[in-house]
Amino acid sequence: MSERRTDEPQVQEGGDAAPSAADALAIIQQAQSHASSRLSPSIGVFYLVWGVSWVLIGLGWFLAGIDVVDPAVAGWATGIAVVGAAVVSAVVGIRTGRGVRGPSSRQGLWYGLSWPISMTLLGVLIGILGSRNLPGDTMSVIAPALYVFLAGALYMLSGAVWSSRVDYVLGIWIMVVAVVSAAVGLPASPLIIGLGGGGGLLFAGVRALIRRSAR
Amino acid sequence: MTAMPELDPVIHAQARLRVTASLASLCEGDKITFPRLQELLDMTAGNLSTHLRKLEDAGYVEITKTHQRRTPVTYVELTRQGRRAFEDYTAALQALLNPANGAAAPTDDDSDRSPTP
Repeated sequence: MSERRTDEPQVQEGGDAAPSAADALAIIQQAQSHASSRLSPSIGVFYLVWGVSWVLIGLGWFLAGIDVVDPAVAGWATGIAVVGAAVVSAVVGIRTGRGVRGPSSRQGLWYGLSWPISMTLLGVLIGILGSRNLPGDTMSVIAPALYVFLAGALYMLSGAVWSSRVDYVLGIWIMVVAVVSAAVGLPASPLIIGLGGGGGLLFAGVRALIRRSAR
Repeated sequence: MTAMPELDPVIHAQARLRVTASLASLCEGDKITFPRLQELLDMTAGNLSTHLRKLEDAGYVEITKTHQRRTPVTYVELTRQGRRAFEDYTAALQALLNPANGAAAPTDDDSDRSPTP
């Protein structure tokens, strides 16, 4: 709260004084950028949290694939990374939207829920595919690639809905990573996803946080 | 800068300008609770109520009192008329500041999501 006071035009407690035109414009800009940064979630936090989560998951399965760590360890790491990032996202999303009601909060809720709903249904689909006895390690390449591809498509759509170029480009990049990981196959595919996808998210996160703090 | 006849006197006061500008940054149709708005503006409850009443009297703000699980909640929103008045006010300011080229286009920042889809 205190840091924004520095370049703010002087506002007395009564606030009935008429500012000059230039001051009035400065007051508007300051109030609006303050309000929108408080009322829209800090996207950088989402990117960073999921970026770390993807890197951990990718590294875990890569190391399990080359017999450095136990697959059970990679499995647990995946569970913890996903649940942790999901909890942080939900808390950040709900906290920023508190006290606001109307079309945008409904939009935010539907958007937020589209991730767990589509990911859960994809899990069911992958389970069905897995029960079909596909040859060799097909499933261990296809299953992660499908999750990553869906995440990329969702990012791309969020970019379109919120007119965010970062989300849009990131979504395309992540879908490309999914395709490349499936083409290359094991043992490198988890590493491609972790470093390519996770790296992309971390890059976008750092960029968004720097931009936001510069405002 | 002394003569500003076209500037809406209801909006053209420091505190009400901040209130109106902040409410205008919400999506059209969105309401915000009184405490959240107060926190956003860093104003005392009494001061904020005073200014909201003036904006309400002018028809620029609508105040809805409702209950959420028996707790009374007050929501504040800019009316269509209020949003319009704020747009006119901003346009008048721009015209005053650069009489030559009129209103400057608002800059669009793609680093973060804009609050409006």
